[in-house]
Amino acid sequence: MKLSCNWLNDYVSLPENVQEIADTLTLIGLEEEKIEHIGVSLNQIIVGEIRTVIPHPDADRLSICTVFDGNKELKIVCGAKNVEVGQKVAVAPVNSTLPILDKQGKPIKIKKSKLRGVDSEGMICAEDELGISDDHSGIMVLPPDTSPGISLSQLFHSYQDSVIEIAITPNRPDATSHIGVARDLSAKWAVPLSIPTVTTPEQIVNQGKKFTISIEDPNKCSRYVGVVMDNIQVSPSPAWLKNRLEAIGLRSINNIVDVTNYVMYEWGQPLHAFDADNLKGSTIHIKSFDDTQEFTTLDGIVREVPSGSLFICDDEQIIAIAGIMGGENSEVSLSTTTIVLESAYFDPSVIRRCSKQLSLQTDASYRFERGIDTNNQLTTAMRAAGLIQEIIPDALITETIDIHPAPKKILELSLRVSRVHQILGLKIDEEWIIKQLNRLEILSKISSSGIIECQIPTFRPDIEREIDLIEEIGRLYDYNNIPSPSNGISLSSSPFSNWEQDKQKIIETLVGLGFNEIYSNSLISEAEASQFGNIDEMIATLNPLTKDMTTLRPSLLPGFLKAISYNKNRNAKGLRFFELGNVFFSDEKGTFHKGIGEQTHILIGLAGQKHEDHWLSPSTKNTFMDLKSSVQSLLVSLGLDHRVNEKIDGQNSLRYYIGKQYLGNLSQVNKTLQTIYELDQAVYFAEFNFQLIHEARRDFGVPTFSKIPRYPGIEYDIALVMDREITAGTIKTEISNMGTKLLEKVCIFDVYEGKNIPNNKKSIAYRLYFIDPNKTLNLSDIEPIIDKVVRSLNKKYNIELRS
Amino acid sequence: MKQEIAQIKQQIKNYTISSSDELEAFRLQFLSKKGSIQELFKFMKKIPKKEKAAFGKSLNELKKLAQNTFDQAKVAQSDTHTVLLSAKDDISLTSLSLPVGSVHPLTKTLQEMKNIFYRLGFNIADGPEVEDDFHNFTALNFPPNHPARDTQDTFFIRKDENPTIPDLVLRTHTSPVQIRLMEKQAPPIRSIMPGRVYRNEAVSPKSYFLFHQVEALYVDQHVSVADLKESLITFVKLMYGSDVIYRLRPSYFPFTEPSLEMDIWWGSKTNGKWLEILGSGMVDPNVFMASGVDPEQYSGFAWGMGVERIAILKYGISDIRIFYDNDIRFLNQFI
Repeated sequence: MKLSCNWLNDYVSLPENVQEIADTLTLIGLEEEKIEHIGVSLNQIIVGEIRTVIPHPDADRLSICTVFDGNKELKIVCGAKNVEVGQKVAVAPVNSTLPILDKQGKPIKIKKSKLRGVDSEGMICAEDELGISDDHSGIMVLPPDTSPGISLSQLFHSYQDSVIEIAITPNRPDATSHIGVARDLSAKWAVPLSIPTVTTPEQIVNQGKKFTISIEDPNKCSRYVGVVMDNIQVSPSPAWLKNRLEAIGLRSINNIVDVTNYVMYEWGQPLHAFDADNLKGSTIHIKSFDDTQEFTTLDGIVREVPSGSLFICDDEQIIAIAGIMGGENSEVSLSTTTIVLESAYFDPSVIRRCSKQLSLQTDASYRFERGIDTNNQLTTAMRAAGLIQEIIPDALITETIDIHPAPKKILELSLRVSRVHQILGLKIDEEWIIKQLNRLEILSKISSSGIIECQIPTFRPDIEREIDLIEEIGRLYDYNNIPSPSNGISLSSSPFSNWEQDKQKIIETLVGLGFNEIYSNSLISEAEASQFGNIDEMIATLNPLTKDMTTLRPSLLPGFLKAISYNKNRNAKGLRFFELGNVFFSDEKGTFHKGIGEQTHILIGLAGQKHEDHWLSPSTKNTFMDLKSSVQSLLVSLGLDHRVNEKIDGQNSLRYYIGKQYLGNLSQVNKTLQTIYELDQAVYFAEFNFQLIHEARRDFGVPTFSKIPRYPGIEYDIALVMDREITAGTIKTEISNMGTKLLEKVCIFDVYEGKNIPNNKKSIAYRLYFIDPNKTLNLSDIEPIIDKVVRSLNKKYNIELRS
Repeated sequence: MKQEIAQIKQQIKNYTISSSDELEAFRLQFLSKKGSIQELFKFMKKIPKKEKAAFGKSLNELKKLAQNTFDQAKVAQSDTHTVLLSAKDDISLTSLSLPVGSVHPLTKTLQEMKNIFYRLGFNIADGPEVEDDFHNFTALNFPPNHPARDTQDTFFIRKDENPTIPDLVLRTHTSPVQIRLMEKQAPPIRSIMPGRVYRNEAVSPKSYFLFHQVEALYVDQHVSVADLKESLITFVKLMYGSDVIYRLRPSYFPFTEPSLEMDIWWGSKTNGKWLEILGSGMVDPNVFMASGVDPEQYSGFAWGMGVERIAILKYGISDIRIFYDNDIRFLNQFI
């Protein structure tokens, strides 16, 4: 909201420095967003009389003038054609500042200067240089009877103001008005607040019952004040009113509408004026309809107003959407002579719903939605009527109606001083608290030792509890002034979560293995998601802004492929990415909520070149085995390499398990996806369930030291000829399982097919490492084991030793 | 005699040996039997007895100097004269480069924040991204018709006519994890809760429909605004340097009362501005009651901040979307 400093100054005495006011507002919770200066100052410009004019010796277009400034004569070089002896002109003397700003937005200061070798002691101004108009055709010539030496500000009344725009949090409806803001400032600065006095209606004679008011539901409208005024002459507003409204960015319409807006920005109470002659019948109804109503608002737009909305109606028709906008049919016009001023309280939720449904927020709805003062309708109506009478002296108040079916009780709260101390961490003096609360018009007094009884004014609906009062004290005290203990808070004995540590471990390992971490989008389009599984088993948003973000990712793969594709299109050569993030899927039992599975996954992937052309070797492409190495290193680093087993799943995919549980897969991206993501090279990825990794790591406990073996181990190579269909991994597992506890590990060191091997066979060479912690092994110790392994493999798989 | 010794000494020092010829010339001039040093030894007999020892000593030193110079030059000569074995033995050739990984700048920023919180005694908690209405809104004291509950701002996952089936949303903030923590464990609680959050907003350089937040919660007996202030100040000092200029101002959040925001001064003393970096406050009694904590027995503070916002300030990034493009040229800047 925009605040005019001139206006605020009516209620509370402001310091000169606008920035100081703005800073104070920020520190009491009304954050300054912008400061604007409106109007120009002509104080420094004086009237001069031209006594002589001679041509400049070195410049055809310039003249040298002698100008009398009321005191002395100044020599000024002037470029205007219309300069003549005897003219009264506007002079900006040396050291004065022009009221306008230069192109960089900086003030223009007049300096003593030389123009083509001639000294000039000031400037004779054109209208545009004074900010009076855009005219730059020549110097401004003033009436001949103007006295030299007087300030131009005595001739031209230019309205000047500083406007502070503030952000208002939803809990401060009272701050949507100048009086509300002034009240806060008066409390903060401990200076008096002077609010305009309003004549109370008891002193006004009601001249009959032209209108009655009927409220259908007091829950929707708890008060309605109508003031009927006669002898109205609608005309443009006086300058003071126009200036104030325009300063805060409102358009001046006419004297009646402007007064209603003025009072709204003064008190925060929205008002509306109806042309009474256009109202049919004698009753004003505040009511709702069960069906949608078509209604033309005063901006000329026909609106479909949904059922349940609140309306103001006469006996025949709708005349306004309550709290939002009036109707064209009852709008105040130049021919209006009688008006009904409306000042009402409408329920915030009713107005909010309607405003939202119509997508129409007005200054009035903005205030009603937040909750205005429940008890200020009569005062504000009378304030408006009084202002109208000031502007139109003939105007008469003929009728004042105040329907108040549901008066709100004043809320009383107890405030424990000890609680204030406890929450703020500061011992604040009881007297100070009471004084401050009273300045905020929260009537407060000590009731018993350490308890302050407070009456909450009706304009502060946000204060409902003790804690809300403590906030008021805190913000007026200024949080910056609360001393912080500066000894730090005490130590915590709770450990870092293992979940967090495991995540860090994975990130560190993968960075060490040369992968770049990526962050991909967790919302993707349905079309994209459907490439990664059955769309019915995925989780979708009901109200996405665009179709690009409908479905929660069922896997980290789409984000990875998008990142690969993005970089490929930008000529990246080799890419190694990983991501740690959540995926979502339908799950009857659910992770946190029934029906919703949410799992943290880890994806590792690579594509493109392993390295570029190099003198040691030509460029090499990344392969499945490159990724498998990284996955293996990760598993070793996580201590899971012995617990994870793999199973072949087709030609280009491995499935990994921890025990019986499926951990994830390592695969080459299939052709379909390659086409969709426009990838011309092979892409490999592995995606694992982080939850399982985390759980498996919890089984370890604290790692303990195991002795370094004192005796050397022994290696034994066997080359096995087997059917091509048998996978090398299967046999490796078989060997591992049969090798007794002396067998430490098994590696494959040679793969051969071709000459000397039958067509349907291949030869795989395994190297077995044996070690015994208690003695040096001899060949004789392990030959029986080898024999057993070979015999068993022969029996089960028809495998033979290569001779 | 002394003069001659000094002269030869100077000659040796000034001698430049850059070829094997010069090396041989040096040897002939100083070290051979007919060399200048050997010549001097011949004078030994003529030296008075008293000075003999001193003279001998300085001559020997001179000889040693010549020999050392010769030896060093010889080694240097033999080095430069090594025959290049092959072009590939040239160790100035470039090596094969190994891949170097990187953490995402948001992870990096988050890790910095975590490190600070570790020092303040906070641990880390986690919660779901799909959240129910109770945890995301109701328990956090959002009134039933609060604008944040509108479909305009929040992604809904489930909205059922049946009131016993809770609405599900993509969490709009990390604050629901506060509730989950307090439901699960009794105070004292001191945790941060980082995570991904969602707002149903159009994508622009300034906003993205998902971003990351870090939430901090401290609940114990006698926690006050002063404690909150202390930890906020410690945080900004550790994050932005001990000379950081900051201010606190009152604000409003449904789940804290009182609520305050922290701004830091960004830029130079004369040309800068206040930038909001975090929102905070004392946990609202309604939030405690919704989570089963007695607000009379316990008090606490909570604060939240955007990771992207802090990263943007830190790295001078102007378009938030770059975090999710995963351009390798961007990622490699955070090695």
